Amino acid sequence: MAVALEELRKQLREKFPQAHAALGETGRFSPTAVMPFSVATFPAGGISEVMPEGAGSSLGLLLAGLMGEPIQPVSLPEFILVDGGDGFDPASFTEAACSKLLWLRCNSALEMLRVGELFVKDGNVPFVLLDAASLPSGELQAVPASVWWRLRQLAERTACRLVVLTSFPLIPCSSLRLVLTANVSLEDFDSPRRDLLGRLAAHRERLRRAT
Amino acid sequence: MFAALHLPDLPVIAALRSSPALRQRPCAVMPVSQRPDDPKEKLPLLAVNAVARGTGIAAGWPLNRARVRCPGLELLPRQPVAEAALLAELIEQAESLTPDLEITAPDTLLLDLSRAGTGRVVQLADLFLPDADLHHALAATPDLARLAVLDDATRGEFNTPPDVAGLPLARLSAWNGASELMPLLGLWGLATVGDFQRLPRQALAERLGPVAGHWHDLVHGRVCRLLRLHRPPPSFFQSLALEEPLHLIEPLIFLLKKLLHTLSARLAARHLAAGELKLKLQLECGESLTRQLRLPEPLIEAGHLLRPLQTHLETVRLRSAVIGVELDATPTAPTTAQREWFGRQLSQPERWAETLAQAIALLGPERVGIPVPSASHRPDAFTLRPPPGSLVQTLPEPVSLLAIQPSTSVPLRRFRPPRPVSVAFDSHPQGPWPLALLSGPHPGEIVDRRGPFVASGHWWNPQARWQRQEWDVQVASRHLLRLVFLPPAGWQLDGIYA
Repeated sequence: MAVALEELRKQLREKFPQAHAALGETGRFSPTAVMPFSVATFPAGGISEVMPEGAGSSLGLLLAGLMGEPIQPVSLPEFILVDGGDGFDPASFTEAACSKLLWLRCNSALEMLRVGELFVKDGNVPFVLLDAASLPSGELQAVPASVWWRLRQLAERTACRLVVLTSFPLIPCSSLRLVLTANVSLEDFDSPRRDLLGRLAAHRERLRRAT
Repeated sequence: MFAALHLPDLPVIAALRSSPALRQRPCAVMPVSQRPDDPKEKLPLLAVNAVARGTGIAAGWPLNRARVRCPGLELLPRQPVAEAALLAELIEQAESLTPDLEITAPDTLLLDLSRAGTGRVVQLADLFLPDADLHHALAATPDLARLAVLDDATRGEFNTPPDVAGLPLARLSAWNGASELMPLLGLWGLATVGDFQRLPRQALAERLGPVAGHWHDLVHGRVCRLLRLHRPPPSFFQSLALEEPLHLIEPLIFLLKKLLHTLSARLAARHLAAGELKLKLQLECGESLTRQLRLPEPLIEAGHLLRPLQTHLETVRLRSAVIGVELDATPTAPTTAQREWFGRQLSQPERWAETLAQAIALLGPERVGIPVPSASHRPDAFTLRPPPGSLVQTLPEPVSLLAIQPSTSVPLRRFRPPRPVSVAFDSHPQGPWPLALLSGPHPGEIVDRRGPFVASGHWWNPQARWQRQEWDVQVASRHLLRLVFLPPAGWQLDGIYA
């Protein structure tokens, strides 16, 4: 009976991958290695935490992968980048790729959280990236846990995918924690970006839950 | 009963308003040539004044022929703005008799007097425009009235089909289909409207088609069409002068809510929506604050209209109390289109606009937008485009002549502002050669480097001139950094490849 049920679930997952995206990220079905450039990787209605492993350029490459290489500029932004440390560099991307994001330049964790909350609550663009990787760790650790829980509740209400880029484990209520690895050296600077994206590896970190 | 009002020579009357000294001289207005290579001498005159007509020339004459007959003819440039103003005066005169009128031609109005009393009909003769001869004619149908007003013999009185029989056939030239029918009728030897009236309708329609049959009905007064009524654009302006000055935002919002409820009701009654709101606050110090808010989509509900106003007012600091409020709306058709199935759209545009306004209030307009990389080698050069759906006026999108490509495959994470660092370096003929970072966020020995990449710009401007040498370096901790040497002796970190 259990085998049949598992088989049925597998068939449904293959037929309707979008509908099972959120379920997959809870860790019940999906393997450890994931594809980080698909929006469906990040659960809707939850917070995903993405961290780099080591000193690679993984977060920048993740952003490049999410933005893609469109030929024409898009009319509506596809995701919101709440840039906590104001570190995004438009010159590192094409104009068409930049048209996919709405950039909000913040100077502190407080600003980032307030603006992020506005757009999570809005729900018109249900994919919000909070870039906290450039912020000082002391400032981030001073953020009370209740703020993240509140953001998670808002994301649940609007089915928003909230992705937080950090340099260390930060969020107590994240639904997914991805660790990115990119072995990039100076020799790779002349390689096509597509090749570098192919080398970006992501693996899911086990979340410890209070019971 | 219908009346026609006609202002002959309207272009020349309008042109003479700016040159009144020429009124006693023969004057003419030329049409604007569609092709610049047309010889001006061959163009027909658009309109002439009464003095010029007295010399024997008329509208439609070629200029060279008119100059032979009237050597002192003054040519005036056409004044479209003055012509529109003159037509507006004519409409104002006509509206004193009836609101039901049609602008049939730029110099002719048709008035429906079927619901007006006899007194109104008598007042037709009293209509007056300064420096212009205003003609009128009455008839049972609008087309007969329009025909009658064009000729001296039928002006100023009520006309029946036999009354217009004596008019020259050329008076029908303004009707639809005249370009095909008039030459044929001329070949048949018809000279007057009466000649046309006497033709058998059935045979005429069989020979020349339904348009000729329709003309026959018109000249016999058998067709009474509906007028295409002219309605002035509605005004939604409201103003409120306050007895007590307002110091707080809450009472101001309360007043705005009241104005918006009225506005919403008036819009709904006309099946319209507001596309733009214009708010003017009169301040006690004598100044005023005017804001124009473009709404993300046409709105009708007072609550929806209030939200962007409230969000905007929360960001405004006034120099003194408010003593008057003016609110105006630009009406537009409400959105009735179905949402697109395959294209991305905002699910709640009014909420999106409000969220953007709040983010802009929090961060400032220069920190919210869609980034556009600049076609420049100047470091950190970019512009921010206002996002779609925001309340601020969106500038037209810049047209990029070149597809700007990123300089490296690895995205940079910038330090804003750049962080000054101390660098141990070796002197080389082409410039300093960095060996180690002695300070900054990632100090250590430089184990690998790319560069230098020399860049400079604005050398012609001493204030804006810049020059730099860039290296991509890898330090012992494996971090990849962008290191910059600013001559003569400055070092800084522009960012990290993270």
